[in-house]
Amino acid sequence: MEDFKINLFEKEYNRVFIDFEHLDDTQCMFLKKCLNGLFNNNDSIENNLKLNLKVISYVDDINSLSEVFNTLEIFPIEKIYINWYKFDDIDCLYYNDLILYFEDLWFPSSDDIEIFDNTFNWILSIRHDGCISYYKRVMYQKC
Amino acid sequence: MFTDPTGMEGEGWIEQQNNGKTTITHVPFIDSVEGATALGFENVTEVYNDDCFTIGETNNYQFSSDGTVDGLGLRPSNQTPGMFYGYTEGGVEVQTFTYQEGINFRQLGIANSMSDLTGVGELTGMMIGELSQELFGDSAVLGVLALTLSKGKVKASLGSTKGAAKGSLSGTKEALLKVKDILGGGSLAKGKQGKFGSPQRGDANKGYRLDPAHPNAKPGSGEEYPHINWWDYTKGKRGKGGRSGAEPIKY
Repeated sequence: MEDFKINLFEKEYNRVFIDFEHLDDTQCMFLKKCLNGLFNNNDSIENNLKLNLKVISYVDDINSLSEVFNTLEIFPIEKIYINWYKFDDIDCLYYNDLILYFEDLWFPSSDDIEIFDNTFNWILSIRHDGCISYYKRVMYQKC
Repeated sequence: MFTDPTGMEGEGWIEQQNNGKTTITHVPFIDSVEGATALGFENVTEVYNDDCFTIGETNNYQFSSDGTVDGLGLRPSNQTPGMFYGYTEGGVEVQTFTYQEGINFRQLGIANSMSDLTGVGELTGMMIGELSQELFGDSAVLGVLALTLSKGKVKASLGSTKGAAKGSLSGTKEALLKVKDILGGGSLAKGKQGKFGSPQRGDANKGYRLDPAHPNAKPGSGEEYPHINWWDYTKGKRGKGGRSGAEPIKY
């Protein structure tokens, strides 16, 4: 998490910044490997993100990021990950904080982020221009 | 001595290899193979970003990051305005630029992988076909494109940069000057590359980045064109004193 975002947050809300954990290199590598499984092919995560994401909305067109998750029927578990840069700068934080404080975390023009959780069943990408796209694993149910 | 008026000096010499021929071209902004490829350069084997480097020939040509080459005689190109070129003893073609209107790096990058556009400026019918296909192949995203044949030379110009990977150097320079003005003037320190290899200055707090047009960009936004994203969050987040935008490069 960028220090200036923490400073701006604490100044605006007059409270300590939300709980988050910045992952180390080994954890980042592990998550990247796990995410590769989402796409069910041997291509790199970067290529898969380029080729397979579907646009769902734009930040300026929604009231809350939770709308997007609800529309997609994605129900994240308690903690989610935010990839800030090439999957070697990842923070883990509470999903509820992401929803509540999204405008304090994602900064337009500057930030291209991916959001996912430990299920590795979905990934949401938010481009710096606010374009929101996603990929979701197809789940099969027994009849 | 040529200097980079954009203030983004220090970036790349692009090396291309094609059928045993090596071409090295200095293009400001570009500091990665991905960036050069996005600009339209084909068969890129290396992008040199060192302040000064040599290419291992007996005559120790010194390539500098400002686009100058010590030890190599360069002459102006009749084909590409603002371009100077020359050949090392080892046969490497070197291209560098002063900054004038009309430089189409995409055309140049493609031509470097097909033929010697700068030295001869003549393309065979097959090459014209390939160039046409290469350029028109992108017509869906490049917008209106004019390709003309004049005295055996191909001239290509873009009617619109909407959807394109890049604009002209002069268009980019103009957009950059606007962005610098918005951000209070001056250059920022070189930052880490953008997500897909785009050159960036500054940091997440305040900076700017040269980007291609993005697919699915919101209609009417600057992101539909090659653009320079800029942001300044030194006074707060968006809506609380923070500012951001995308300055389109429209030609």
